[in-house]
Amino acid sequence: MSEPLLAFSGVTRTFGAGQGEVRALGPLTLTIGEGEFITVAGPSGSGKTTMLNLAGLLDKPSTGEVFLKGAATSPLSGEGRARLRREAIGFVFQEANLLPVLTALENVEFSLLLRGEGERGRRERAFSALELVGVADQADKFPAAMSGGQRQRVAIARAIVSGPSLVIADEPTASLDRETGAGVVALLKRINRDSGTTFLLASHDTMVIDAASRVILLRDGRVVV
Amino acid sequence: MLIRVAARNALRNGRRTAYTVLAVAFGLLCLIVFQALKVGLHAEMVRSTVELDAGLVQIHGVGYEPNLASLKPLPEPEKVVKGLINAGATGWALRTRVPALLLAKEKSSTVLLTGIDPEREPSVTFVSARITKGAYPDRSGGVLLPENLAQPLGVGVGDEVSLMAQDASGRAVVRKFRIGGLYRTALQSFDRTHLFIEGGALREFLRAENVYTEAVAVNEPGDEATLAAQLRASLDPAKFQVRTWKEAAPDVDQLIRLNDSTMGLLIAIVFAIVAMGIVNTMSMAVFERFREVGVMLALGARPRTVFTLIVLESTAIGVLSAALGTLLGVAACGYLAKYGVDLTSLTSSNEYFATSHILKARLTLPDLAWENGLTILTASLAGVLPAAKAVRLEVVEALGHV
Repeated sequence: MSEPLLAFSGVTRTFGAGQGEVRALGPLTLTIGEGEFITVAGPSGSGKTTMLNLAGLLDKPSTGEVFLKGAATSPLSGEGRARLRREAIGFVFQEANLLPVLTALENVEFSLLLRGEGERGRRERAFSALELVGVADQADKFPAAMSGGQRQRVAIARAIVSGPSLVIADEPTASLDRETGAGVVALLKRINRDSGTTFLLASHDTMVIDAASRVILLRDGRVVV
Repeated sequence: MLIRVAARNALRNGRRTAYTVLAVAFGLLCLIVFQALKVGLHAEMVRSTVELDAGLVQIHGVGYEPNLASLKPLPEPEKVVKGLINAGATGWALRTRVPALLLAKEKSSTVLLTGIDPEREPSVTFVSARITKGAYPDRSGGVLLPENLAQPLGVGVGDEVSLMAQDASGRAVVRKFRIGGLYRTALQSFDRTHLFIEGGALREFLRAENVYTEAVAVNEPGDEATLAAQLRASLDPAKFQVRTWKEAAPDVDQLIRLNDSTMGLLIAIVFAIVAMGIVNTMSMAVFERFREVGVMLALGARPRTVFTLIVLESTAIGVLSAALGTLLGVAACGYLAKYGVDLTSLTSSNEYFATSHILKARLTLPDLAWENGLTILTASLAGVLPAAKAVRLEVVEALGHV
């Protein structure tokens, strides 16, 4: 059996201390294989975002270990985690979170800039990513001049442009209307199918849940299903 | 691309940036104008000191002191002249100077009597251009008196006065001289004491043929150290003492340094205020963009990239401010260089303003360069604190910031 892309081993995440300590997640033990399209579902406060933050190396577990490609991530320094995020993980946020002073193309390019890619190659790859997600015609527009769906597509282009192994999307359709949301889900699914990129999504949206190859249902920080 | 992002971020909140830029530009404008006026003031002080009497460099025999009653001859004057020519002095003159007593009718006054070479002396002082009546001393032996002294003594051009001094052998000598001309430099302390006579006539009166007491040389202001070094190298230090105007008039040099220190303090205060303004603007900007910082960090941005971005934004504000401040400063200095500030009421009795009472701004490129550099550096440093705060953010916290 091949090594899982991502593994949680006895992971907990607590906030606060002493009597005010709150366990937001765990203990959680699960593995995510390459090419999976997983939706983490559950009510608000169930620990979906906490789990995604740990999976995306944005946060550290209180106990247990998160493994990425078989390597423990806890011992990594902040710079080491940032490097892994640059090289292996893409993020799609609920409200796109594009940098407002950059055009669509520049937003996608920015991700490559952080990887130290040269300007010429950067531009070409960013434009290809915009073409892939169907918003190449918006390349020179600033986020404020785009619709919510277009912004989210640009955010997806930014997440996948560097060819990450894992894309983490937190409520990617939450701020979109149903039709636009469906388009975004279809796009994510197509990328997953065509490139084999692993997707880990958190959502209440039935469309996102229906599209998943596996659903992880969380309640009170624990896996129910 | 980071520069583009920083520049666009700087212009994002146009009004706030504009206020900050205006405040910083005003600080720079003040710095440029004050510095240019200070340079103009110092140039005027040096010019007055050098061109009134002291010259850029003075050469005396070892042991000479200005208040010596007896003659202290300058050894080997021909060698001194040769040294001055070789050193490239643009103007030079030999003088014979002795203290004397001026007797006119029933009144008298102690004076400093200087025997000059009428051909050479105008190349080192402007006294010849301040004749108010009569003529500059010539071979006829007339004495040039300051108006301020002639008036209270009740004498004028054509009248006779007696001068008493010690001759070369130390004996007192007295002789009558005709007043050939009157002058006024507007500097009362100088005008009360300085009398001029043709050098040959004075030396004949003092029975001191071919005796000179000093050589004075001028060159471009600022050349004094080089000129003095060349002269010191060519003249035996056991026989000659070479002094720059700074050594001859240490009070002027000290006053200039005092001004520089005061200006330094003023600059520090102005730029501390400027820095605080930028820190405030940048802190606001960074606080508003915690979420964006969080996104950048989530995408894998190195802390130093975020740090650089914020410092670059702060620098962009500095560059904009420097451009505006320079524009305004150069325009203000252009006006002040042409018309100046009339300080007659404040400087008419001040020896540091003997040549002119109009203070003119003097803007130099090196000054403009360091002033701009300081503004941009201050702006950059002011970005460090907010940038340091931004890179210490926890990614998850920053992403959740509303």
